[in-house]
Amino acid sequence: MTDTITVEGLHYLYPDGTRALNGIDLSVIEGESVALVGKNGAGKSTLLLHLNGIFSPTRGRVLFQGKEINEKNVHDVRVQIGLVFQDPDDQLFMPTVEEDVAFGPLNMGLSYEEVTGRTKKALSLVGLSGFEDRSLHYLSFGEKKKAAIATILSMNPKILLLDEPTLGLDPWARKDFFKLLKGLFSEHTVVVATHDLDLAKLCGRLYLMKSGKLEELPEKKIII
Amino acid sequence: MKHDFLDKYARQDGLLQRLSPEVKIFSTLIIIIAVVSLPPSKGLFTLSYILITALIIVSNIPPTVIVKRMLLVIPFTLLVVLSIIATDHTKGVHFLIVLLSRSIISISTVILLTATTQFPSLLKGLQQFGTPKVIIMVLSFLYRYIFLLQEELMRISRARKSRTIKNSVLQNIRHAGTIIGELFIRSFERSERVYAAMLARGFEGGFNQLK
Repeated sequence: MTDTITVEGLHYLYPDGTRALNGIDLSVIEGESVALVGKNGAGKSTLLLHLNGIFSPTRGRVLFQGKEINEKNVHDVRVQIGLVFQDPDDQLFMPTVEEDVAFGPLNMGLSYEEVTGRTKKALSLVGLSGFEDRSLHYLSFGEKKKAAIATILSMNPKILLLDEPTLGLDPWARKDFFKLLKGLFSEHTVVVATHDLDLAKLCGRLYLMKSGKLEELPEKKIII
Repeated sequence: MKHDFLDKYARQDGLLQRLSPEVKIFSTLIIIIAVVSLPPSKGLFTLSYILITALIIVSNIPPTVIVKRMLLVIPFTLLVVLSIIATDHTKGVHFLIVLLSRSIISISTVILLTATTQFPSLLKGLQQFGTPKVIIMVLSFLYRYIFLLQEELMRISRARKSRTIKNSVLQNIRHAGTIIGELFIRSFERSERVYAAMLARGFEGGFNQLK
């Protein structure tokens, strides 16, 4: 059991002075799933953006496999830690589904055959085979959410960071999504920020985020 | 919400729709270069007009669509031509007809190209002709986000309408200003999130594309 992500005394101030993170300590062990719950604006998304080096801490450190994330290794870190954004319209920016799913692998410098192979596999994992040539604005919201996950899976990351994966889905799509997420949880280390308490219950450990601080909750005991 | 205004005619059947984008881009270029650079003659223009009309018919595109899209550009040409005629007395009606014909033929050829080609394949075609990747990337973002922007505009103006009781011209103009501002801020914020999403997937400034 090794720590994959370690956060030590993380503070973050937004450029406008808003205090978003206020001394976070967290360690994520390989293979486990961790849920971050908390109100809107509690800092869940901000924390996720630190875990793969999009934001750099104002104070404190974020380590991946024992090494601090810095400008030199951030590219390798991002290949191994995949972040799925909350709004699929932010996550998906290419004209067609296939091009979007291929974006990450192409940036990794893989061969054409490898890229198309991975794209195909990722799309079939989320149940979107046959959607390759679709323009993104013709997809439903649920399909976009799935495509957003596929764009990360195609990079074969070890760790998945999911920001509100079930938010805004109708009950049918949500049920469908749970199946997909359960599969992902069994094969990856996952950190998920969510309001969905059923989803949080699927995770091994639970943290409550409150005004920029983390508080570990006893297993399976959720009080709002 | 589904939007169709860009690809609507590209997804129906027709002669031009069946041709590959590379062929269409190449012929468009040839036609434009010929019309603009060959010495103007009645024969050349009549031939071009007939060719374009024929292509519109075999591609099943309503002529009104072509005319509407053309009306967006023609006023600018007209403005330029008229200002030249007004300042230079040696130029007359002949000059007006020649320049106007050239621009009508060029524009309608481009409209035919874009109307009969789905945007993603148009981009692939342009890439084959060596268009810089940055331009392709910018155009693909345009295609991806123009629909979202349109939806956002519709939502904002609907929300405004549902709360507007009296309607005066002055108020409308003021509202239009705030809507434009609001759209700008939203797009700006989205662009930051999209950029973060690109970084998260290993973007380092280079543009790689599937062949």
